Amino acid sequence: MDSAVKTFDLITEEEASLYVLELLPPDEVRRFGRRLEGDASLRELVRELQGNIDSLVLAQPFRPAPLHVWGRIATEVKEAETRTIPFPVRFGTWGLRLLAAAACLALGAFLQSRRGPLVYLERALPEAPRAAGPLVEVARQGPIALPEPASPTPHEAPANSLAPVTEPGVVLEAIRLQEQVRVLASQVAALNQVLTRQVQPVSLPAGVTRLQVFRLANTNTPATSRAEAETRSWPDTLAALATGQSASTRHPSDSVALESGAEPRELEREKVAGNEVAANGADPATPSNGRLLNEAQPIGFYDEETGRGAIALLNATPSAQQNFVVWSQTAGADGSAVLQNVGATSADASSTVISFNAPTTSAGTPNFFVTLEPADGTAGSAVPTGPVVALPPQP
Amino acid sequence: MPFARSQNIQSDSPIPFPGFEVRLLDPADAATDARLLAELAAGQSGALAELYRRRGSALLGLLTRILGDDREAEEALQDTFVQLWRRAGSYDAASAGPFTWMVMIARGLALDRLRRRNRQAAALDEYRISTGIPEVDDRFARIVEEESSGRVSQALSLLPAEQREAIELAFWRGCTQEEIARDTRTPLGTIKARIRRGMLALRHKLKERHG
Repeated sequence: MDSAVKTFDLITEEEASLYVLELLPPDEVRRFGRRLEGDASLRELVRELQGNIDSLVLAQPFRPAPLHVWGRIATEVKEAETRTIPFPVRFGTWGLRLLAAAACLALGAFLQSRRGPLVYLERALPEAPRAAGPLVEVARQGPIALPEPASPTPHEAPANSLAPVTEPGVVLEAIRLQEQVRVLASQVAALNQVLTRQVQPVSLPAGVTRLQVFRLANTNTPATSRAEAETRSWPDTLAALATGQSASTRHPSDSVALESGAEPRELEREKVAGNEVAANGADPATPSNGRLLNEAQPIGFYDEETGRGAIALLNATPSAQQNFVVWSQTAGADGSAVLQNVGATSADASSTVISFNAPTTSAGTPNFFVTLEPADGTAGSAVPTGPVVALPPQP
Repeated sequence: MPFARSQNIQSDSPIPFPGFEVRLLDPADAATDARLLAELAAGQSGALAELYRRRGSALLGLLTRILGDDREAEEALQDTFVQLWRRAGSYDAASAGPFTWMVMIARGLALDRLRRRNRQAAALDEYRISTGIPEVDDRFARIVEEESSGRVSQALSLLPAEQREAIELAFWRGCTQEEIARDTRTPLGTIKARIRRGMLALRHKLKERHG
């Protein structure tokens, strides 16, 4: 090729030949690779020897590559793409794939951990003691049958039919497992509904390569929230959130005054995220008129590296009057909780998949929750004013 | 034909070279392959179809040569292109040309299949011996294989037999140096020297004709 090519000793030529034919042992491959990095002439020699390989292959009689093989390749790649979720700048059907991936993860987590829903709920919900209370109480009483959900989904698990068992621990475990199965079954049902309806695709910005998938807990069905919201009873919900009580909506007569449009404020973290006794003296064991509805459990996705994420509120559609707003909750310098409006459904959105941008701070990964806010501009405010419809994810 | 140059090297070479059709990749083709791999690495799955169109036939020829079975070669071709899709991001242009890189992936997958098959055959032989079942008469299969082998060996026929043998065993059969030495009852050092001389002779001829 050119006369300036460096000549090599026999050993080097031999190593290069063996390297090209993949005959060198792994340690020698690494050593030779290091030599290659620093020696352009050696790289040239290797390139030329690799040309031998090309020629050996090209000397073979070609066989036309069949179309049916390409069909199988395309199918396999498409399936693999669905599993790996490499995010493009815009994704038409990625929202659906995300949801499918989340369902798989949820099922996998369940099968692996077999951890009870109460454990999850206690960690996930500020009002967990209250929410879990009735279940625990029933468990103590012996044989139970869980109440039917308000709106059974098509793929609902069979009705509860626990055999009479008197051992409280066994009963409690049975309840946990049964509840978990019901949660997952309802999630799958909701997911099926979303997929069937071909929810409006969402867009996540480019650069998202890893996702943290988390589940949020419903505190209200969206319909309930909307009905309550129309009664203008939002402030008490927010107050409940601030005091660590049930975040579900309450009867308007129970309202706790909270200035709508107040200055950006901080909520005490331990009161927001913890399970402490309510600061306002309310009895945490008092049954809430809001129920935990496990069907259509919201699913969230978050990439800590880029701060990009999305939350899907399954079985929910925004109305013209209200938006769903995503809030991030982080710890301030003094340890108190800082809330930030990070995303909302647009007024004309036809789905409730909300993408947002919430960079991780030095305080750590934010928690997210969703409120229902009026669509008259409050959705862009710095403080939540509407009822909470999805609570922070489990840690 | 996706390859730009195809010519016969004349027999005035110091090494016997009867009718070895040498095809080299055109640099422009290599650049196109590299671009397609880069697009693939960037998530543009459409580049895979173009690579299949351009290189599928050559790789299928390689796989058929190694595996000797059309159906298994097609399965290996499928595996190869899925691997190309998965590993396009790891392609390093500094360490190999794009076609060489694709070839080595295809070859590796084919040799894996070959080794699995050999293990199964060895297990079957062992079973036959232990149970006294006579071996199946596979004369016809052998004839086909010999024909195929003869056709392919033409490509290396410019080399002395012992060099050709060493390279063929290494490249097409995936034998290690030690296995070649053992199978040919030749010292390991001699095998290495034969491979070196054979590879350099091929390189010399290619440079002579296309440099």
